[in-house]
Amino acid sequence: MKSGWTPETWAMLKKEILNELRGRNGLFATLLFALGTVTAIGLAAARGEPSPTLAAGMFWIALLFAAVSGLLRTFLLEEETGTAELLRLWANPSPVFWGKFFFNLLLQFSVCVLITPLFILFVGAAITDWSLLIATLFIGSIALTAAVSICGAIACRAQGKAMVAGVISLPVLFPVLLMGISALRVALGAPVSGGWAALSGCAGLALAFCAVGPYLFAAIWKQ
Amino acid sequence: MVFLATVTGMIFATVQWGAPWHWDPRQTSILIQLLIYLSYFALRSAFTDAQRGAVAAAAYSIFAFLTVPFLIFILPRVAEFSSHGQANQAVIGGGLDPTFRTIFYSSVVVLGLWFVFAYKLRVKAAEAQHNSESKNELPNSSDSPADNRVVRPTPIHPQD
Repeated sequence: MKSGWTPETWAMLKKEILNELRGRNGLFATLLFALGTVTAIGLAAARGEPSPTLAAGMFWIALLFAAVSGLLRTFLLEEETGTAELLRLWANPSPVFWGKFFFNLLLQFSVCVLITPLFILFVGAAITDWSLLIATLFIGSIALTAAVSICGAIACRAQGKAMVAGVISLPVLFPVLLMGISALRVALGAPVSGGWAALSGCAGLALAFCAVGPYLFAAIWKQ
Repeated sequence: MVFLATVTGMIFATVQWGAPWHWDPRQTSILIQLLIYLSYFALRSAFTDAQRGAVAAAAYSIFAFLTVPFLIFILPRVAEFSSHGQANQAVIGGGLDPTFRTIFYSSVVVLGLWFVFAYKLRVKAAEAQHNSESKNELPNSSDSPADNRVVRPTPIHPQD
């Protein structure tokens, strides 16, 4: 195999995609979970149209729970199947982190593509700013993916790792959630300003997670 | 300490604004910080290997710290979720009201002293644990340190 950051990261991403295509249980479980959440939200909103702020909050909760349920498993699965030790010997921490991050990002984008039209359909949300909606989903997905990936890596050797990883992810994701809701409610027509400002705050947080994540991962991965 | 600050903040909010919780940026920030601390302890206690748990918890605390500047400086400016909308009556003419000033500075002194006391107690406990562990180490029968690192096979079914 070629050495270097890009080929190693690409090899890691390819391994994750092949693993997923062989089993497909993770992808289906994540998409089904997201679908179930949006359906539950649609049922809750069936009696009356929710306000843009409430609709934005419900949509972000669906994204958050889909991320926490689906994205944590990439690191946890390596420990459960016993392949993590081999990976520690074979690869540098940085390509491992980025390979898994990009795979999780693809998964999160798939969730967004599936649930956004369904959410608009079920809840009857009116989009007033499409560019803000797409930018919020894009940047919010990066922030969610980075945070959940790092928390999964931190908790991957703990007892009851899936639950612990979920528990430690949520408080770190609340600032992302708050800023994401502030941006999305403007896209859904709330009569307030500051949607792009909130999104820039979310982008800053995503950048901070992506900048620090690989270093933290390197410190804990080789332990 | 954060829990105590949350509770005293709720008492203050009740006196000032008539209800203990308003989801204003400061209350939201401290609630998230409280949850982060609880998660830290949950993570640390989830490891059987104390050293590994300490490293994971340290990594988590560094990661969670990234949210602090956003909670303190950015969130209050971008998210309009403060609902009480009333002026703080504890602040008069740019300074604290005398009653609030007395309570505030006495709290700072008392909590500061309590922190120093708790810290010294923790250091003493760690020293006592370290001394206890040093005394409990059994002397080795072998003189050679190299012998201690060799794992010698023991026959399970000794041959007669």
